[in-house]
Amino acid sequence: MKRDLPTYYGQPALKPSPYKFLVALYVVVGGLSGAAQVIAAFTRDRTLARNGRWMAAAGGAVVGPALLVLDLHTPRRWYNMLRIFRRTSPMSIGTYILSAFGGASVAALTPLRPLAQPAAAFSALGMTAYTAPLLSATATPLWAATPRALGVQFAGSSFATAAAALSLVERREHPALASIACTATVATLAATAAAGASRKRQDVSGPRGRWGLLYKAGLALSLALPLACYASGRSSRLAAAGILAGTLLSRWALFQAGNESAKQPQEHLRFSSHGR
Amino acid sequence: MKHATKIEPGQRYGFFTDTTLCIGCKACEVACKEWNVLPAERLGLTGMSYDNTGALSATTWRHVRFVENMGAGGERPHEMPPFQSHWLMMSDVCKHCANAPCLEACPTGALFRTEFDTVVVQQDICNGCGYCVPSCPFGVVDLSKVDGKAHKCTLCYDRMKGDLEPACAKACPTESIQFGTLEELHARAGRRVEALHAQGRPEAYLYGVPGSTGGELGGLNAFFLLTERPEVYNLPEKPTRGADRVRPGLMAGLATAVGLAAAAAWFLQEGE
Repeated sequence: MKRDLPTYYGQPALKPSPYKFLVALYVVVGGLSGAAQVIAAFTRDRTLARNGRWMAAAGGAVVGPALLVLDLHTPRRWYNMLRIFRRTSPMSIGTYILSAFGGASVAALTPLRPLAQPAAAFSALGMTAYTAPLLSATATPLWAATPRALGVQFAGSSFATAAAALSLVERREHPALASIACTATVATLAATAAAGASRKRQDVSGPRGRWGLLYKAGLALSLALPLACYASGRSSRLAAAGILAGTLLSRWALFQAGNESAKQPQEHLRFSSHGR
Repeated sequence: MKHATKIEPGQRYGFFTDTTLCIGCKACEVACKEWNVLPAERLGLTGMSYDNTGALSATTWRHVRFVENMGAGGERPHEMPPFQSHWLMMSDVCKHCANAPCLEACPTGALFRTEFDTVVVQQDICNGCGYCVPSCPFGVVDLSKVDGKAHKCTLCYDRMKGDLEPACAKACPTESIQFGTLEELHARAGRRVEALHAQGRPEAYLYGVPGSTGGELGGLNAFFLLTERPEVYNLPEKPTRGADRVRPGLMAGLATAVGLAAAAAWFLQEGE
């Protein structure tokens, strides 16, 4: 039973973020490109390595930055992101991670590869990790309540989506990619369960309403379906498609459900009544 | 408040908003709109108390809240206490926090701390990323759909540079809004709480002074004297600092990424 706090006529006590589908798509694309670069760096299969490098460069240097610039409300000033570095701001940290990753990933397509690829794979770890604190450092109750679990969820699904996307463009079945996707999905599932438990302890609601349903549908597609496929040992393409579609759906729903939670004063006031 | 001394760079300035003195005239809202040339947002009634302003926004930087205390179960009480009847009025504003989460979130440096220790958005730098909007634990900062930049109270930065107190404090007819250095305001607010306690109002307390309720974030340069629990005014009891959540989230994500990268390396070497 949730504690009932007084509010000011139920009026919102917070402003919702302006982030919707574009940024949710960026989070998926950014994480996917990062993990694709890591896979490319470790494989001995030349086709797989080339696909991974191209995927990383396309996501990290073209699609990702384009999505972020498009989402600005004054896009012609995008370069002001590079004016300062602020370690308290995941958006500022992310700006430099994305710049390093995008640059190194493009360089890894040129003869500079021996130097550039390790740098790209290293900054790729940041790409899979920084977008969760981007959400949880805001005051939005749904995102702020579980910073650690969200970090594991986002990094986990980055590896799952990268392995899934790479296996879809490969001609032959790749058991290693299926193993990576399966391991990452198990980690994401564990973190998702941990997030639910942690929200319950803190008296904060999970995704609710229409977006809550979409969130659960996304989880079913991206976690339950692939794990069932891998357990039965067939149809790894279906599993890969489920991971990609489901992750995008659950990410988008998490953004929208967070924006809704910011408009619920009870959520914010309850979350802010614990000492931390 | 007629401030006698000069407004000097290097001093910490702020507002002390004493809600027991507020009469809900909204002169602060009007003075703010006039001085800062902010357009009216909507005309008409919200149908919710006397609050027809609704909320702080990109073009509303003072907002008077009207709380009607109806007694238990929404039942109209038959006796009125001889003090402020049943209305609580509170002129809300940007808190200019000491550790301002909006400023800590801003990736462009558009949000900065001025020489008067206030927090201001530089309009020629803001690129409208909107990250300050969900970062504010008080729901103050807002993006303008008109110009695509973030806007909020500047504590009348321009007026202070010209040695004038902020427009809202100047216009307040009951001195519910007082402007001054934090040192002076904290002392004055402390005396006011003691006086109210002596007058039989033991529920009066300060919100947003370091060490008091709402004193997280290093204290608020715009702090309040309240007579009900903070939630009644939609204020968080313990506002949280988003920057505290960056490290745990980032570390958990990086640890996961390193672990999965190691697993990937193992699978990829095994598989071929």
